Amino acid sequence: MSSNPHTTNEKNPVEPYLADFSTFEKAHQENTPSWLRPRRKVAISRFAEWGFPTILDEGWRFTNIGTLARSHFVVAPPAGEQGSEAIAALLARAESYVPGDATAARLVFVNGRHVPELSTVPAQGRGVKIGSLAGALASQEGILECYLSRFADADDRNYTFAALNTAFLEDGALVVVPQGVELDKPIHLVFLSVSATDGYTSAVHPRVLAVVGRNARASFVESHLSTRHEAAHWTNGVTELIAWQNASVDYHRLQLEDPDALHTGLLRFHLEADAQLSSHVMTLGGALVRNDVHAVLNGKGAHGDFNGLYVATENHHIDNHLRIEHVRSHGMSRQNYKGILTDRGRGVFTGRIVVHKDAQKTDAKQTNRNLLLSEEARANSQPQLEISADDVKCTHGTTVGQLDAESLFYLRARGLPLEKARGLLVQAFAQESIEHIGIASIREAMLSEIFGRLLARPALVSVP
Amino acid sequence: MLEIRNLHVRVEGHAILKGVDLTVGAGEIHSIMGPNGSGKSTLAQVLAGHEAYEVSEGQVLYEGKDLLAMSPEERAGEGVFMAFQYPVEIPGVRTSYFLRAALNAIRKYRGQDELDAMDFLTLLQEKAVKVKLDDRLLERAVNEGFSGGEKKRGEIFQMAVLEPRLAILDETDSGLDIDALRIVAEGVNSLRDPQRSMIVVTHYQRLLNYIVPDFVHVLVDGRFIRSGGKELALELEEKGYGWIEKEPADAAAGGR
Ligand SMILES: Nc1ncnc2c1ncn2[C@@H]1O[C@H](COP(=O)(O)OP(=O)(O)O)[C@@H](O)[C@H]1O
Ligand SMILES: [Mg+2]
Repeated sequence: MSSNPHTTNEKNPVEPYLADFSTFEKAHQENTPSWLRPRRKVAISRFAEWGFPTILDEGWRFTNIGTLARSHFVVAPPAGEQGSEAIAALLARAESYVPGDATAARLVFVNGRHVPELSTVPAQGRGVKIGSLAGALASQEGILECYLSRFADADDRNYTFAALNTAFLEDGALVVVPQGVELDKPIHLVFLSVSATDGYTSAVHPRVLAVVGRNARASFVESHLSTRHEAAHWTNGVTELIAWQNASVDYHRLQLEDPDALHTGLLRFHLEADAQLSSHVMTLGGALVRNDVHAVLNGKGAHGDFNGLYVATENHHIDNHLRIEHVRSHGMSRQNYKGILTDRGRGVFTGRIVVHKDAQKTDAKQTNRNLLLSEEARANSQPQLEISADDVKCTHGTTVGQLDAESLFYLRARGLPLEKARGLLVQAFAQESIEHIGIASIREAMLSEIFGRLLARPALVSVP
Repeated sequence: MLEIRNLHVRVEGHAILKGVDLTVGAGEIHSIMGPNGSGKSTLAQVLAGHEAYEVSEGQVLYEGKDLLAMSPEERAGEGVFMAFQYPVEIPGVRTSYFLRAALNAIRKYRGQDELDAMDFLTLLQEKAVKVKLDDRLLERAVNEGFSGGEKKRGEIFQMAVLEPRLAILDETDSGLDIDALRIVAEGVNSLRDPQRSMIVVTHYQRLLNYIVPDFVHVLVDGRFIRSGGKELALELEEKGYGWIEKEPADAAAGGR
């Protein structure tokens, strides 16, 4: 990484963002809907107040984001001509997750901006809207005023990066699936980031808003890919997803950015009565990653499955922070996160289950299992229960361990070399998470991405 | 085929085997009997290469080679197979996939070509019929949720697929009802071959009604205290282990 002219050690790290914001606001004066301006202003003032969390903040005890606070990340410029080869390569990888299909919607974003030439949006009819957020803002899409930042901007310090995202909100995706409409193909949102700066640190703040109506059905794949940049780069995404009564939603977040990438993301789910959500967060890339999932099961009988798999190699740090809130009765939630940690990789998992006083008959379960493949890999796991109703079923379980010695021996006694036996057991561990994904191409691609990463690691063979 | 000389084995500091001698010739079936805790599984695990068992003294030659110097996978490559007393459940690994990987690893070790998916499938089905294994088990994770009998039969099935030269069956009969026992025994008998030796570890004599051994050895407290022909098993059945433990020590012998 080359030297960074924007390093700000001595000053409040928030200040340069405030200056950027004034410039940004002026530049966007023309095309900003009147309702958005105050929302951005509130957001930037919250970010100014909350700033960058430190390990003294509850919720950040195990994740030091000094790297983010020490530099000033300017909004990334569009990719230049020279980026087109890199973009094509990244896109080819994204297509291995969800194959290109002229009849399926795909929106591609490069450095945070929608690129229509790389996107495919077949005519949907039935009132379905799939398009760029910038386009929707420009055409004064009415639904935006109602929903954009309604849930993802809370007066809560945990939302500090979400506030920064809202302040610099410019582009991303808007998806609306009206009442009763069932989409059978997944909508692929592809966020690519390529180096376009002259060695200064940059950020993108992609935003997704998805509203799935009553009895409607939709599946989303949000892929994040990047090339190695000349300087540190940060993706700070926010996805708001609202599922109305009895809607059925599958959401997949595939985070496979380059090994230097910094990534913070908030997934804000809002579920009304009997809505069914299945969320899969795969974190296989990035040097420092913090995924926040905040789901509110706001209606009676809402059901949320929250699956996650994270793989940290080298000295990478991956933090998954979940807050699942049960507001009404008969809700059900399942958190099932698994980590594979090797080299000096570190996984942090925090799963908070909040059961409000009216949420009787809540059934909430949480498990976090971590596999350590090297002596120096580490995992932290913290279940947190906050229960105000009396008739509920809440359980949690955590394991941190190595590969099972008896299983290894069994495989070797049948002829599998140590390395193969270890690989097979790691694959089995990952498989248990991946098999819940309904899209076969994603399952296959994730397994091969995981093995591409792990097989190069010496720890797969060295530690028994 | 196999020659065990004065084998002493310790587990977590405790001496378990205290000088075991055994010679197994090609095509022979030897039965090892003995009370619980006498060290039968320890012997089986040591022969397969389990690292928790520490050999403190003695030697094991397999086809003239130093077996104890080999890794578990090398032993498998050389044709050693141990049917586990407690087969391990491995969630997430499909049985058919695992067996193909195992067979191909062994073939590779021997310098043979790997089997392609089609040929392997044919082989698998043929062997499943041979040992009367429900081939739906092959699409499930290794031993996961198998009944006791299914696990044992699964071990015999794996043996049929991998075609070892030395098979060690560790209490493959225990926990089986008479029908299951008969099926397992038939499977074993169908694999009898002048080139294939077997060590059948059992706690009860009844298995030996179906798998007739050439030799029977009685292991008590880490030593063979008696060896003989198949009649010895019947005698044991009648009189119990107590009888034999009281016999003079000079009756103890290894192999032939
Ligand atoms: N992994 C182990 N750790 C500690 N003790 C063991 C272990 N394996 C076997 N032993 C002990 O060694 C002795 C012999 O056990 P084993 O070989 O399983 O006997 P058998 O198969 O004849 O019943 C027993 O006392 C048992 O408790
Ligand atoms: Mg035993």
